[in-house]
Amino acid sequence: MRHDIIMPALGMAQDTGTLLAWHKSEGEAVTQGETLFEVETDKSTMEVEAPASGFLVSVSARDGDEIPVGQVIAIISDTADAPAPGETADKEPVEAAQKPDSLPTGKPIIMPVLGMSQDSGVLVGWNKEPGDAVKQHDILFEVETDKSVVEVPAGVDGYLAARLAAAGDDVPTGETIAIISEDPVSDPVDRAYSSSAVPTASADQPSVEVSEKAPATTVAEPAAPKQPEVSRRREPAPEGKVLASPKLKRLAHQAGYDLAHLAATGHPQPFHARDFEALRQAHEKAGKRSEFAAPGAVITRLSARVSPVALDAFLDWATGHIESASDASVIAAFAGASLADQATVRINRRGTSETYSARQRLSETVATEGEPDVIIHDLRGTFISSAELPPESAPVIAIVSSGDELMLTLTCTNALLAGKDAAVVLDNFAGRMADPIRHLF
Amino acid sequence: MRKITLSKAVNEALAEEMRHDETVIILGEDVAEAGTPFKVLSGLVEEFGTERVIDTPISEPGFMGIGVGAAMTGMRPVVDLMFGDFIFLIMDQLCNQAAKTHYMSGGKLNVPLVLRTNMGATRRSAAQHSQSLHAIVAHIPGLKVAMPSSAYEAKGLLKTAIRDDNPVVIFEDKLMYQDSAEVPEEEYSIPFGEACIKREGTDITLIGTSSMVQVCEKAAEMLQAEGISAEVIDPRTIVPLDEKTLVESAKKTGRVIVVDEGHQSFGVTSEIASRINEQAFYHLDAPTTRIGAMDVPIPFSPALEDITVPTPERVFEQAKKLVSGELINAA
Amino acid sequence: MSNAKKKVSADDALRMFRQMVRIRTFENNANQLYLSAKMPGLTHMYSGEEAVAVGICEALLPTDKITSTHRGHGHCVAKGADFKAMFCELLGKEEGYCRGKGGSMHIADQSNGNLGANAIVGGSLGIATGAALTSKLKKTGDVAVCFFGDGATAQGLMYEVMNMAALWKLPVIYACENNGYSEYTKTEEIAAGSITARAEAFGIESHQVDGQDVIAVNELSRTLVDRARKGEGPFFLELMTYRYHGHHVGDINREYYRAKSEEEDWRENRDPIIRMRAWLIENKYATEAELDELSKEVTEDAEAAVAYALDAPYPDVSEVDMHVYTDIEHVLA
Ligand SMILES: Cc1ncc(C[n+]2csc(CCOP(=O)(O)OP(=O)(O)O)c2C)c(N)n1
Ligand SMILES: [Mg+2]
Repeated sequence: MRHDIIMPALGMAQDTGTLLAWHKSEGEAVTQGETLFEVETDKSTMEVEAPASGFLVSVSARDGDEIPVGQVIAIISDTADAPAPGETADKEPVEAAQKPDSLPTGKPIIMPVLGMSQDSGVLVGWNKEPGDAVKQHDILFEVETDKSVVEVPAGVDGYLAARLAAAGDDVPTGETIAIISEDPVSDPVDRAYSSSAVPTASADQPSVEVSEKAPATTVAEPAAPKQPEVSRRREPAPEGKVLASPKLKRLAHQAGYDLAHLAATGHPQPFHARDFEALRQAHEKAGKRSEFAAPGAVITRLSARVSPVALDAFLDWATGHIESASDASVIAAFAGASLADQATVRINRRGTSETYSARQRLSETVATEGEPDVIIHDLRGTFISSAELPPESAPVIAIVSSGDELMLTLTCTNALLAGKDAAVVLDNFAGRMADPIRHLF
Repeated sequence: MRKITLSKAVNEALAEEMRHDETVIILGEDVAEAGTPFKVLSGLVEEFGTERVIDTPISEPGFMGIGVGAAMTGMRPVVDLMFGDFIFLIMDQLCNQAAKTHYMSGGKLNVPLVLRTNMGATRRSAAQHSQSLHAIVAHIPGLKVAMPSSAYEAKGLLKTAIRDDNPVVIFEDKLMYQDSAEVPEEEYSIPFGEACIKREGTDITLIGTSSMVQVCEKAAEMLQAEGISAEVIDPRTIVPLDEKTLVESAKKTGRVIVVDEGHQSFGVTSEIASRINEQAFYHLDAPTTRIGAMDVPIPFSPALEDITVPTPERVFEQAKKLVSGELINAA
Repeated sequence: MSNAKKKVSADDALRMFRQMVRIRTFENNANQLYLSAKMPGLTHMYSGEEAVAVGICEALLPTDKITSTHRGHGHCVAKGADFKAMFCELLGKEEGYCRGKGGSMHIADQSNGNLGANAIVGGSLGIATGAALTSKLKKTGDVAVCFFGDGATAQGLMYEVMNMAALWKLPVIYACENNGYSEYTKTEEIAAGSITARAEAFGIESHQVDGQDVIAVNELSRTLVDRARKGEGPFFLELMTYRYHGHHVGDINREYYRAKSEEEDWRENRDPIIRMRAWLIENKYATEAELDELSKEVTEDAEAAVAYALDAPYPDVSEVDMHVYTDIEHVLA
């Protein structure tokens, strides 16, 4: 019986691995579970264990070779002699590679990115027991980052079907640490963190603050069947990682700059003190960022400038001719119509907050109650000349007078409104604000 | 200023101290007429006689123990250990006896003893005559450890060591005995725990011990040609260690390489690097890195031996990487 | 020369002569390599002491164990080593007995029971005694011979292990090569009392023997080795001998500790090879011409080995982190 030793796939988008070193040499006896060789991927090095006991023969890769994933690099044979070519390998050990035990289906909850240049978080503790019913805003767990301890809400209603990390575990950001199922589960999973358990949530998956509308992700089947069981060393999370020297981190901290802004510009990492000027510029460009952004959420920010002249004239006309119309209801109607045929719009102006059920026809736009689909901060006529307010439970649009123009800034998370949709919405809205007559047609 | 060899500097320090203080004696193998295999002690027996320059049999634990006992009772022995590698033979006397006597006696007994020995590879002397074992000694509380980097330091530190009331171990680099440096005619001594900034610089700090100071200085020259300004610091004693000077420099340049000829693992480079990381962390613009002797016994073959020790070229390459901001050792 | 013709066959006698000539020839070449700066580091010459190593090793089987010293080339040759691998080791080449890792002070042909040459004076006393313990426990019948110099008798370790060897009746022979000097110091200045008496204090049977008489050394060794195999050990031998060169090559100006006339006397009147040569001829075991021919052969053999070693490759640099542990091929990989 012989077992093929293949170059395993260890990373996410990895198609080759570099063989760092054989721990055994040709002809040597190996015992199942012993370290056979070490592989380097783009992220880390890993030790690969022998899938079976026998003799290492037909070694075709040498230390330092870069080898396509899946390629056979040696054989473990019953005898120290190389088997005759053509003899097929026993695929059993590969298929038999231990699969992670099956997990309940539901929405995966990931370790969120909470600080800058943070690539993992330490789970401080769970606030819910396995099987507990949880509500969207319930605090599910606490995470410690380099800066602080943060409480993270569940983000979705349901039942805590699996806890995949334990207090004290240092979990790479993006890794799934819990599953919330729609229905109660009889035997919830509860265990410590291990990297191979669940595939890392992909970059565009909703973060913890996801709305209920987000499609529940079924926890995928474990890694590719060809992948043998490898060591427990983890893959660092690919996203959200900023490499910077302690010195630059200190300088950034003192200046109040966020290294993520520099990372977003694509400036080459790791950053050092010499990149401080670039950081400063990135900071200025990004403008003052909200400190209230939902943890882990990627925020879309879009701005538009329009002339207020036509709007002012239209508002004068509308409030004079349509009984129910006010500045607020008209702008709400514009916003709602930019989003959908019918939408709930909350508009905050000078300390008051009104909510409208907005429709195309201005007369049909009426006050209502309920959760808004979009929130407007109408800051015209204030001294504020620039505003970018964090998205709340809905996308936020700030309207400010900036010189002779109005500046419209929309912020939302991907979960609320995907980037391209956000652009359409703001464009619609800006078009109506610039040329209100359009709204009527 | 006149220039003398390190060998001569040691000889002068001993002669001066033996003239000052008649309790100073030398004990060791072939220290008298032969003046040791390195001829460092030549002439001393002629001046001070065989009562004070005492040839011993090849009984290292024996004469070390005798040194400890003599030191506790009024003498100031300078014990000569022919090769640093033989430290392993005297570990009990050095580490269990000399190092602990003052403490165990509640401060009532002293061991004013100096152990002079050597270190350094590349003499093609193979694994049992090439080791640099200062870190092992530095690990033991109660022992002070000096590592002269030139004739000047060798003399000044040895004089301080002889006057010190604690057991002090001095490691001289055996390849440097014939190297000359400026040494004043007049008497001087160098206090322990005071690092020496051998060269000022702004971009990177190179900390070297013993002969590695020269390695760092050569690397600094090479770096200068590339427009990189390197600061070179010689701690001179690793116990006590002048942390302040090292940390200040680290804060100034933001980048540090520590170079030492002991094995890299669990060694002097690790200790210094970790102190810098602890105390200058937020000033570091690059990981503090270590260059020590390879973690293998020193091989005989020149083809192998030469790659086990730090070289100016390696320090230079590493420094360039750090200064350029290349990602070092990060996953 | 001891009058032992009956007991030593012509073959044995000629082989001992050849082995002594081989040692001398090896050392002459080593010295030449040192002087011509072709040899890295330095070395301690065995010339003058050949009868000790040869007389003892010729009494041993290849499976018997020896431990050697910094002055170890002679022990290595006498225990059956080959010139090529020895010169390669001396020059730090890959094909050396220790793959270039040991050099002069550690040359040993491990396959012939040589447990290594030690650069720590007295460092192998424990090792040889331990090998004897193995022999006793495993009943292999092996005898272990520990070679060490007079200087090593100052090491406390010697007394610790002799005590245990005597208590446990181990098959070990302590072979003290008393060449009159320990480095640059006369033995009488560093050794109090009698050396053999120290062993006797432990109840160990001790002999002093003329280390320049290979027949005498061999005869005594055969007897003691046989007895040790039977469990009558340990034994202690003090072999009175002399080194012709300085303590190491490069120890040139040595008149301050040793007179030239003394060296001349030993060379001219007590040389083990000259004496054996005369003995062989006198006993008609060989003619002058035959012995000249033998020496010539050995010389040619050595020259060929030197030439081979000079051209041989150094170990690949990747070997530097091999052999640190038995189970890790490259410790730094
Ligand atoms: C423990 C130890 N101390 C000192 C030395 C330095 N050294 C090497 S050889 C030698 C003299 C040894 O004399 P001896 O044992 O008589 O052997 P010989 O050189 O005469 O063959 C000394 C002191 C050493 N190698 N090891
Ligand atoms: Mg001797």
